[in-house]
Amino acid sequence: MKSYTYIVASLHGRTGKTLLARLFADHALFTGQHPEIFDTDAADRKLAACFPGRAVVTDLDRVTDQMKLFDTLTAPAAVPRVVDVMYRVFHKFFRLAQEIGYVEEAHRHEIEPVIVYIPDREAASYEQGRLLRDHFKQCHFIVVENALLGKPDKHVQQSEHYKALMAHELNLYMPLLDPMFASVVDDPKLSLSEFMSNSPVQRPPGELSLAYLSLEARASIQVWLNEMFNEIRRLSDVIKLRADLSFKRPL
Amino acid sequence: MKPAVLIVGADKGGVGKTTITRTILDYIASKNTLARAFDSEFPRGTLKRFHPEVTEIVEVTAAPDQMKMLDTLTTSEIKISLIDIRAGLLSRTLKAFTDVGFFDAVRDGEFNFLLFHVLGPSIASLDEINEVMPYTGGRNYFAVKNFVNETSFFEWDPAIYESYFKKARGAVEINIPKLNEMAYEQVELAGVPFATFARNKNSQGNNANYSLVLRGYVRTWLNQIFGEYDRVGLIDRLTDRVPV
Repeated sequence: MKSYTYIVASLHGRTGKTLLARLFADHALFTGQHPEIFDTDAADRKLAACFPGRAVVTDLDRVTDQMKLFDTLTAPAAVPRVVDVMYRVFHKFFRLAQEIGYVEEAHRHEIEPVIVYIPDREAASYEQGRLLRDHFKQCHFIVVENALLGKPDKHVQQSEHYKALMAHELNLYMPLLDPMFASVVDDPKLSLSEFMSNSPVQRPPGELSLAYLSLEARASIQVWLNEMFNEIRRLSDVIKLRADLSFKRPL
Repeated sequence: MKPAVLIVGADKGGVGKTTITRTILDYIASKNTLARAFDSEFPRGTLKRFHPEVTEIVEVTAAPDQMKMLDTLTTSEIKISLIDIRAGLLSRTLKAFTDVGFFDAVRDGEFNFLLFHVLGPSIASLDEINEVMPYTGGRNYFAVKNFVNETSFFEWDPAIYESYFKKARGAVEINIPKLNEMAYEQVELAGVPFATFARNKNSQGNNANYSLVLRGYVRTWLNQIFGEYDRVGLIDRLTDRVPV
């Protein structure tokens, strides 16, 4: 049975990458799975802070940590995996993946790597995204549109790289979350999967530090999370279908 | 095919002679060509540990073993012979080979001969160039720069660099990049050729369980070295496809 590794990456910081990685992990938890979670930001450990005791932090400057990450990512697994590739190790991660033959080894063990890429408003992010997609043709590739980032300038939109990436067939849309509630979602103590498991209306006051939130606010967050989980579920289903039908490997 | 002898050596120790020889054996095998090897690290034999099936341990300065190596060049079905000379013995071996007329035979076209002089980033190592190079007559001499650490072979000082490498006219330079230490140690523990390690096989040819990351380091490193050997036309020189 195939398992899936979601590699969430962006060229620059502040693109919502860690939040998206967290959503992939929380979606897995929400659906009763036990994901393996990897945070490559050894300094800030933001993703790891959301999943204490579950996430593994790796410092890609250390060979032992490279082994800890990639040797685990290629070991057969019955659970999904989520990797948050910090923008500072973007090039290092993918260069290493290429040099060690990560994708081929993963395929040998029935593991399907899925690159989830978030471009921002910079032209370079589209160029790098396109290069990444073309370089890792054996991987599933999802282009993320984060509404919070907005559209890039017109000259970027006219570039070949932008057009190529925007025409990509697998897209994930991150809707805008009311900025008033963004800090609530950013709170690492808040388990998004638990939040979604229980109706916020029924949540006892004081739980998860949300007592101060109005029911309306909780409902807004739930709507946003619901949309995100639906997007993740939709794309996961498409990718599973493509993997089962072996559509994943272009000619 | 004319018999070919490739000597890998240096008088200075710790410059990676046996490592280089191991990569050459992997390279020749990757070209679907057979080679035999002689390991002069008598009586232990590091090379033999990694390539036991093609390696014989010899005492390179002893006449019986010189006969074993040189007298069989024409009769052996395997036409490529690698000789890994242990530290301190390169000059003596070359002199001994001169004395038995080996280089006369090379000049007469009986054998192809290549010398891989492995250099470390030290003055002592570079000083060897003037001593060793004349044995090859300036031809088929390969200055193999083994970047065992982050040094640059004095490239930052053009005067020193030129003084050594300018004299070596006709010499071909080969650069050997550094292999990650942990990957190197894992191959040591595995006791298999580099290429076998990269393929994740053990010494019996069965699937092993080496780290993907370390295998990747070894594979990338080996590919870089094979690229260097291709660049200098090593297999063609050894198999007589081009005049040497």
